[in-house]
Amino acid sequence: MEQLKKGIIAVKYILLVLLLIFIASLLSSGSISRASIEQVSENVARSLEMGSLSPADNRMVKRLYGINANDYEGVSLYVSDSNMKVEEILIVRLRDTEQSKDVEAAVQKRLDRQLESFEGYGPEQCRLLEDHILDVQGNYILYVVHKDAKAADKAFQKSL
Amino acid sequence: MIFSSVFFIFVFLPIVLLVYFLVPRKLKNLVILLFSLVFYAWGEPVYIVLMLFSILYNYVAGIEIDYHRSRGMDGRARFTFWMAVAVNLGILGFFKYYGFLLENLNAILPAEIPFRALSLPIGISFYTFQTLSYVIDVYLDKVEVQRNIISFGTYISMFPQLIAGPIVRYADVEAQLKNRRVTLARFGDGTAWFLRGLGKKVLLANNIGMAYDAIAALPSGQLSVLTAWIGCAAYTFQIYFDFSGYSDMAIGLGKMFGFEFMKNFQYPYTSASITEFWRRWHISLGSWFREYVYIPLGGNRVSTAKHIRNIMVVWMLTGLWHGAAWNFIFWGLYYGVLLLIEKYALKNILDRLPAFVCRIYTMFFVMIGWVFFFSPGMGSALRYLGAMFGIGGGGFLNGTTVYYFRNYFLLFIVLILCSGSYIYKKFLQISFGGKREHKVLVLTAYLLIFLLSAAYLVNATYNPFLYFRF
Repeated sequence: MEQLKKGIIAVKYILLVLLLIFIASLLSSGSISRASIEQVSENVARSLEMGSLSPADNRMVKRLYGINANDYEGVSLYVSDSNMKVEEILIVRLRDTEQSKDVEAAVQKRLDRQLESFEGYGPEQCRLLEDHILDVQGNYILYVVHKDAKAADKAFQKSL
Repeated sequence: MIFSSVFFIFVFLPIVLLVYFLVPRKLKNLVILLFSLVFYAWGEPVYIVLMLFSILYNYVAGIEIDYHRSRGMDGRARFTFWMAVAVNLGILGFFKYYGFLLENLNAILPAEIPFRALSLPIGISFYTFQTLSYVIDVYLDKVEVQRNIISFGTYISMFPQLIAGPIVRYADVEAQLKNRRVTLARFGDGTAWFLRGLGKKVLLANNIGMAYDAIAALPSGQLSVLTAWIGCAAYTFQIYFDFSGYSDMAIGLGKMFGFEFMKNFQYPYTSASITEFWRRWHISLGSWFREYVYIPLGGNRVSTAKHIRNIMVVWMLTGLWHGAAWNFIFWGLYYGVLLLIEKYALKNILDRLPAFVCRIYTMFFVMIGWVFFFSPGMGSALRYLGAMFGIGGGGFLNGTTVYYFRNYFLLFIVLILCSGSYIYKKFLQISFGGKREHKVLVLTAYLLIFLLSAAYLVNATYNPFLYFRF
């Protein structure tokens, strides 16, 4: 019986040590950023030529992507003021990294629709759309359609 | 994975049921345990580690408490017990409140403490309360220690109520873990509960949720008084049908596997007082706090000052349980204050007032409460409340108000009717009235709920679940 007791206590403390190792590994994985979405958006916007891009409200987020901005920590969207332009920047700060699947699916849907719209008569727009960048970094997602997309992505990663 | 998803309904559930009913009786708990772990890992591949830890640690702690107590070593039993409580609350506190705590510390301290906030493990608030109920009841000798790790793991991880309750106390399912029977009638009853819950969630909550989301996204200048009230009413119905629908699905699934879980909602929006509302809303959470916090603190059998303290402690914790944010704490304290006012000042007045006045009074304060609940922070809650009472510059009504009123008027009528017990009672009368044609009618109604919900789930991208956040 004494043996059993010792065994039980040993198992309990081994479990606690394993839990601490698990938490330490989560904390050191560094996938979650505390940067504010305002700051990240500002840095991304500064990294490229904004031209006709201007900030859009949550209703536009819903209309173009079908997602509710309120479900996330924050959503920032810049769209072009002309229907003939495809430049677009979407930055989402997730509440939970699990939400990334939904956002990625919404982005893919938007991209497919845009490609369908410009297919056949807008080779310039189609090329920009095909060269889009979709970058998921922990609790942040960036989707950018722009000739300077790479610079925007670099600024995005640096801001997190 | 959530119940109201195509994958769960058409793939996961049929497979679990098939395997469960094919294996011999002694393997049934193991089947539930393994599939529950798959169910949890589907959404939380990383945090499954925490779930396994909870199962193993509390299993061992229960045996150790029992070992010490049975040998009269009360001091050691007490130490093991408090250590288990501290570990369980420590995990919950760390994963749920650590970011909140450090954010607030950083706001008041001169130097910034760097930290990384972790995402919240799904269902942690629910299953931690279940493990605590087990450890506390074993320590108090209210239940037998569970020596079968499969049975214990099944209790903690059971997928029907794992993610959003009801919070099942170990004492309530202790016997069922050992011995339970699924009859055709119980399975049928479970299916009916599941379908009603699915309909509430998918057909009612999701549809009215779209109105709330659209109104919440309006710029404050466009939010008229009436639009703000429509938005608040939309959320009021969304959270009820969303959460109670999910609870009904959980209860139904439980029945399909032979378990009986407690009812979590009892028409809360028909309450004639706030006190009554909390007896009918999220019943399993209320009874947990009553059993493990309120009564140990002395309940109401103490001086008035201590009773006030007890109520405020319980309601602050209830608020905090819902989320690591000031608006949730305020929301909890708001109910604490309302309950105290009712008990010490309003009780006699409410008793004399006509029932419909009491119901309007209750719904008014419940709706105000939901504003604190749905707002991302205290500032936005106060801004929204301002809009509801004409301080916001959006006017009394505008084109947007007319648009939402016209589009959602019929749905609101349906929601009001479904919030009361009349429709369901009539439905039961028809179901069990004995007439053959009535039975066909009821069966058709359930089939229709299923087909409409499935069609909606296949087509719609909008299928949030509000209580995932807790």
